Amino acid sequence: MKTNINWFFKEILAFGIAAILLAILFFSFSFFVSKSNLSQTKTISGSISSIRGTQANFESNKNGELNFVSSVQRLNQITILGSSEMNDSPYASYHFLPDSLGIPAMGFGHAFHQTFAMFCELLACEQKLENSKICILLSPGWFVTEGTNTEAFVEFVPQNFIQNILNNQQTSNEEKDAVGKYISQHKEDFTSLTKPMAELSSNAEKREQAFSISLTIKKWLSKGYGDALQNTRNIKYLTKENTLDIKKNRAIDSNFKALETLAIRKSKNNNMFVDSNYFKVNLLDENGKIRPGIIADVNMENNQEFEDFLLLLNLLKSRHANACFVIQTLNPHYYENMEAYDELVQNLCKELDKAGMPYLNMYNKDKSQYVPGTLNDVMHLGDLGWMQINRFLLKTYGL
Amino acid sequence: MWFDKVLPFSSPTFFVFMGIVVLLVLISKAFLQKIVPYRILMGLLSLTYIAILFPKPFHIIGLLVYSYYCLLALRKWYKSENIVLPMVLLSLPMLLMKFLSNITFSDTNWWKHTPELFQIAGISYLVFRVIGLYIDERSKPGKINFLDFFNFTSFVPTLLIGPLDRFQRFTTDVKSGYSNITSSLFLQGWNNFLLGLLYKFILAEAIHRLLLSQLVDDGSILYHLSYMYTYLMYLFFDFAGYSLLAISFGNFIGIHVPINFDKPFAAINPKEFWKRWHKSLGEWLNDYFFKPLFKFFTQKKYGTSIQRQNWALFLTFTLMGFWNGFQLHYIVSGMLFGLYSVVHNYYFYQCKKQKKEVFFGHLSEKWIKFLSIFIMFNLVAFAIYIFSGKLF
Amino acid sequence: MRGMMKKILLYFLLLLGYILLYVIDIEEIVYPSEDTKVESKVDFVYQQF
Repeated sequence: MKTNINWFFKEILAFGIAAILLAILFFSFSFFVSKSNLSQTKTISGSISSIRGTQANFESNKNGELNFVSSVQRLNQITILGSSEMNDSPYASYHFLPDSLGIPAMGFGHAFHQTFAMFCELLACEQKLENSKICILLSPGWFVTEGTNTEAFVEFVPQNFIQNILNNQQTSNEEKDAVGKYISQHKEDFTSLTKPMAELSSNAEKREQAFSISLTIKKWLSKGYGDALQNTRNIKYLTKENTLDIKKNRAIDSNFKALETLAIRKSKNNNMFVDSNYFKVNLLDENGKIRPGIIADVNMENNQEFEDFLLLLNLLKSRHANACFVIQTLNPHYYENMEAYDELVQNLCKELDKAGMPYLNMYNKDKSQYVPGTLNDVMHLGDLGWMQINRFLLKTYGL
Repeated sequence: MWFDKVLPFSSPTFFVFMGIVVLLVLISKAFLQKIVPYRILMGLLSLTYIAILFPKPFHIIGLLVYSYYCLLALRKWYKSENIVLPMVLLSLPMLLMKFLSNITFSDTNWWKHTPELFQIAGISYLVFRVIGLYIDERSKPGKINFLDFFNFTSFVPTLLIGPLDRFQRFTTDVKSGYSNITSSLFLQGWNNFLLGLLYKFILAEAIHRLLLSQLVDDGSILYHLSYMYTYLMYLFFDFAGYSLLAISFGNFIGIHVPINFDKPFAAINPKEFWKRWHKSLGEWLNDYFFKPLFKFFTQKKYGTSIQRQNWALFLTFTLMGFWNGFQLHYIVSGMLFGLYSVVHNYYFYQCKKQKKEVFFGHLSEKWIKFLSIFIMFNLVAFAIYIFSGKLF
Repeated sequence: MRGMMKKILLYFLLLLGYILLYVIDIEEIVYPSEDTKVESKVDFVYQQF
């Protein structure tokens, strides 16, 4: 018995001495590392960064990333995030506001650009969110999908963004883990995971356990070593200020009636105020009959897109972004069961109200209230719809 | 099943499981000695592992049942001294596995799933244990109890890749049971455990991640040489570490699992090498391949004694190559090891015959030893490099 | 004493190895790799909402 106790104490002693020696080693080495000034930052710069127009995604184009980060950083520019409604209408906010009113505005996205991708993009430049003018164009149709698709994730969340999310010390673990969990849940849908992606996902998995020794040690070590322990570099964007003059003529209401008339004129072959060509191509079947306009029910229980929306909303609110939302509508002349989205729209409004976030609810299932031109077709914004958004933006931002 | 499948020592789950096993055995020793006999406890614990954690539990149980009844039948009806037939019968599932894994089946073939039937983790070592058991026990009367058979063949720490134990030795340990569990054996186990962790999870892992997987294959000689030595180091630490872990868990629960690696790179000749590298396999091959082959050649009066020895050696190692798998690189590496042994055996014979050192001449003993170690190390590195399958 | 020194070294190497290999993934720092390209195996499915 005595020998056992002796043995036990000897092991503990040996372990303790080894641990102390190791701590001393790491501690003294940290001085060397902090003095050696290891540069872990990669700088991304470009000659131009836009103040108008759209950027479809961030794939294979570092200027795209720079445009986005610049847009978020410039407090006088409005950053518009949306999906398939981002067309080339001269009345779209990212054209009309800069071109006619001299207000810098840029749109980002194409179809499938949904709230989780937006959340990741904004999280990657979260230090620049404060007071940034950001407008999110919500499509109710997103909420019948299973959330952001991996193809969209790859296009909209480039590796530089992922590295920033991983490395940013200010970003909360919950937010990092939200991205990590997404990656880990969709692991099979990516051809491979890059190192920062793999690290985000494994950290999220580890943190799901109550206590992870390795994460605790790493946190402790990073106090001494900081950036040197990071596997990936910090990304710094060299952004430039813009110099567009803001014109003072804001009399935009005169446009509305003209745009309504124009929309009615463009809809020659139907009484739904749908663009003639769109109607012919998309709404008629091979027998010339109108396809039924039925929308799928939204299941609000465990709705992934809605959870992503809450993440996004929380990010914008907690970083004090000067953000606003637009809930887009569908065409009530075409869709027969628009009440399928009632609960969703109510929930969206409830959450936005709760967050004190300004929003424009364009959702309207009443045919008599539908103004022709709000949509070009059955779901994509028309010129008049864009003008309604422009009016909302000017009012929200007091411009 | 409700648990993730884990092979021995492949994930933290396995260590947790073994921790529980050790704890249960210690508790039984303290309180339940009279109620739960040691050999029944061992059987239950192995069965639990197979049932909940081992991939393909039914396959391995099928294999065990086949091997057991094959063994009983052979003991009852097969009276010949010739061990070829029993060896073939007992290793039939393994041979089928190795043979079928080399065949490509078309999608429409109705028996395309047959290979999966025989692909059981640890099948080769299991078959080796059963063959050893048959040969050792064939002249001894009495029935071999299924529980003893099961405990021996399915002992969890050594289930997958050894060390290869002997039935008598193992069963004696099991019979001594709880009284084998002493603090000195436990402490020995703890030392083996720590060293095993260092070898397998730190050194082998570091060599693999920092060196082996960072080598860039530019086709140059330098690349192949770097790969050869790095792979040898990796294989040694990985395998020796694994063996130490198996030995340590054996020690914790009162089983003296035989050692497997003993400073192999200090070997001065092939004979010594196989006493130091994968020792339990070296002994197994000597007892069950080399000796019977040599005896057979002697009975048939083939050639001279030295020729018989050399042929038996060469065939033994060639068979070892086949045992690793029916791929060319395994077979060639086995033959290479055979060739080393034959050359050394002949050299040793010539030295003895001429009563002088025929290769090193008048070099001092110290130099001869140094050069022998150097040559042996490089020969081994080359054979293991062939074994790795990097070249072909 | 020699036994004790050996033990300390053993624990030291175990702890050091654990931290370098399993906590900070040393090879990622020693061999910083260039960004690899990720692609999605799932394509967009265009549909009318």
